[in-house]
Amino acid sequence: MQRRRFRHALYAAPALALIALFVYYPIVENIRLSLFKFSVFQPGMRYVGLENYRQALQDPVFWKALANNLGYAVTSVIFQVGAALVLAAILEGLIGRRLRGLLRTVYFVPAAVSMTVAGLLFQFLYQPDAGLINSALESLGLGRFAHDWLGDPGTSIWGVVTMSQWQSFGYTTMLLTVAVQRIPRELYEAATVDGAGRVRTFFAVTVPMVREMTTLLVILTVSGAFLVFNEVMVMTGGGPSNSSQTLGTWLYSSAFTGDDMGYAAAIGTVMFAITFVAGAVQLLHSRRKAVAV
Amino acid sequence: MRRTPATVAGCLLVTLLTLLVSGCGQAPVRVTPNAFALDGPPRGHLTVLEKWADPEYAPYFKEAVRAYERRNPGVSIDLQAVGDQPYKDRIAVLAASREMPDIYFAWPGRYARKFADGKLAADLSEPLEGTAWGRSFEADALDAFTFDGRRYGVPLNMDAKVFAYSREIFAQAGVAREPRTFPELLTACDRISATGRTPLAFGNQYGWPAGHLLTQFNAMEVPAAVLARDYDGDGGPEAFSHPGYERAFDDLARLKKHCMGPSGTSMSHESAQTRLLYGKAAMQYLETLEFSYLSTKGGAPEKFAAGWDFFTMPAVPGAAGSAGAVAGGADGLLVANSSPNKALAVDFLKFLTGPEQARKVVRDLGWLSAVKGTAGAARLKGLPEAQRTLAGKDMALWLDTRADDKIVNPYLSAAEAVLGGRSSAAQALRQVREGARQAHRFRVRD
Repeated sequence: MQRRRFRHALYAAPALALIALFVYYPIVENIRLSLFKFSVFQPGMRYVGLENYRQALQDPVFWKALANNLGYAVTSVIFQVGAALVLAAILEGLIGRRLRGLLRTVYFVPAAVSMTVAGLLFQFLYQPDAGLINSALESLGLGRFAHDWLGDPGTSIWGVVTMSQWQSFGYTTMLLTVAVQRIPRELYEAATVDGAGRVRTFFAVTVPMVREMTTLLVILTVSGAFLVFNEVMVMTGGGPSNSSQTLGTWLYSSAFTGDDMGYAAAIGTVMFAITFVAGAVQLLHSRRKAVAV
Repeated sequence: MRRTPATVAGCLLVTLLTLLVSGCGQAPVRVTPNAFALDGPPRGHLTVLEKWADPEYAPYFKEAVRAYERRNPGVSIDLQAVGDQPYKDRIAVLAASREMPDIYFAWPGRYARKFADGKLAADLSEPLEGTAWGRSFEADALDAFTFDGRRYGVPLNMDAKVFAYSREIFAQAGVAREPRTFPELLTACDRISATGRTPLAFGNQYGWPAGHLLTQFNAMEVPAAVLARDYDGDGGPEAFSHPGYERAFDDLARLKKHCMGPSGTSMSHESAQTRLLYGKAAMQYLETLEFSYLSTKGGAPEKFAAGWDFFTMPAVPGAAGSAGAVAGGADGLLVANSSPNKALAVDFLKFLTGPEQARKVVRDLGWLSAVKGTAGAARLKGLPEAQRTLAGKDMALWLDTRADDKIVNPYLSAAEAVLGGRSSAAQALRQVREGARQAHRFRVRD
């Protein structure tokens, strides 16, 4: 028995060592670095304790970035999980087989477009002078709503969020469609026999039966929303006036423009803590509510 | 938790790991002796990292390396070129690991100073100070890499901000001559606006174009000594209190009001440039390095390429700074302090900045060379005039490479707020002062 255990441990050891080296060690090292002030250009590090975290508390850009990430996460969960599940259920329950295949492809296409290309494409759409959105508003007689979408601090981050939803919505819809397809048909038949309408069936059968997939997608979209970087860098660079900074872009800016590596490590630790807690809570919650067939 | 041998071993491992990494600091800086004289024909291997990866620039540097290798068969050079932002990232990582290439690029001012202060750049005073090689450079360009009286960098080119304009649009708007004062510039903008065109094409998507304008206005409005003290973060509680700073933001706001269209904040500088090239805008505030884009070879329509001219920022009446200031800088190359081949590196840099190569820089790349007496080689329209015009001007180094890192972000952010009409000059300056205060409080370096 003991020998077998030893053999099992031996087989697992290389994977564990790699995970420890490439996942856990960087996390520990990042937490350690967040307790120092240092520049990459100068030798030596100055131990400052929790000073970098105090700096974050007093940094308005940090709070703005955190708020932007939260807005990003909430919107992503609503669209990429909630709305995508509704669309997946409609596709599977109401649309004919041929049209269903076509629609699935249409929804998925944006996910195949590179992030940089999508970012540039939306920049053109948002152009205040000749962009499609303002032109459309003008021709509909809604010119008063025409706007410098990415140039106004009030709308810049939402311009980025919208692009991100457009790109990821079809992908999550596909994943949820697969989950919906795996629900036994008998459950829907039983619901129909019991007199449940479409909405009731959706909430009583579809939602609980795809909980594993929705849990996974919530974790992925929330952690993705807190790690968002490319979209912002391509479309706004964090501006104007830091209005579209996210924790990822502010970390990068603090490290490579501000040369404040310790502060950047502190922001990284905060990002890790948020995504870790969000993931753990969601996992525990879904385990309690798991439904078995 | 049950205390099994495995959990105890796990805890011990974690503790050991934590103690181990806590003991690690940054690697010490390796410094090799400053031996700049070759003891025989050039021989050895050099690594070079620079940021001229654009297809119009990269071939020149590859060819220069090949020419040096052909001339010196015992030398091999590994040249790597990356874009602007990737360069900043890569050199930072290399600096952190203390694995610097033998020769590497640096922007002037505080950016280059970080390498000198961190002992990552070799002191090149010996080969540059009082020597024929040192005297071959324009003084402003060499001074941009001189810190505490020591020379740390070899300037390769010079760059300055000017207003490029369409002569045809100016004439149609009744603007008879280039503006000589800032109010004249604003009046010219009003006249151009009346013709239905945008006076000044401006794209500030990434923040630096506004930084360049503020570089210019600050240098004109604030005395040089005050500016240097505040940019270095040495101003203490009085930092950025000179009234010229507020006037500079006010100049920016007036320029926006009279000259720029409504959409500058979200447009890239390059997109804005197409508006100039295709006659939708009358002017653009651009770098002399961009002159090549205004030629037909660079993609400009023939009509514009034949009919453009330029002028520097006109003087602001009553300003306390330098009336002849021009925002600009010099790109330079530094030698790693850790390089075992400093003599070879300096020999290669002498080749790269020698008269023959310097003339090629002017002729083939369309740059202003930092080497004296090369303007005659220019084939690009505007370049010889630019060299003559800038000779009598004061170079004001780019704010984003001159000022303390932590001051740059609040400054650019405040500039964006002024351009967006969300902040007055006074509010913007308060934001800068608060940024400077926070930068001092949470300073990275002692």
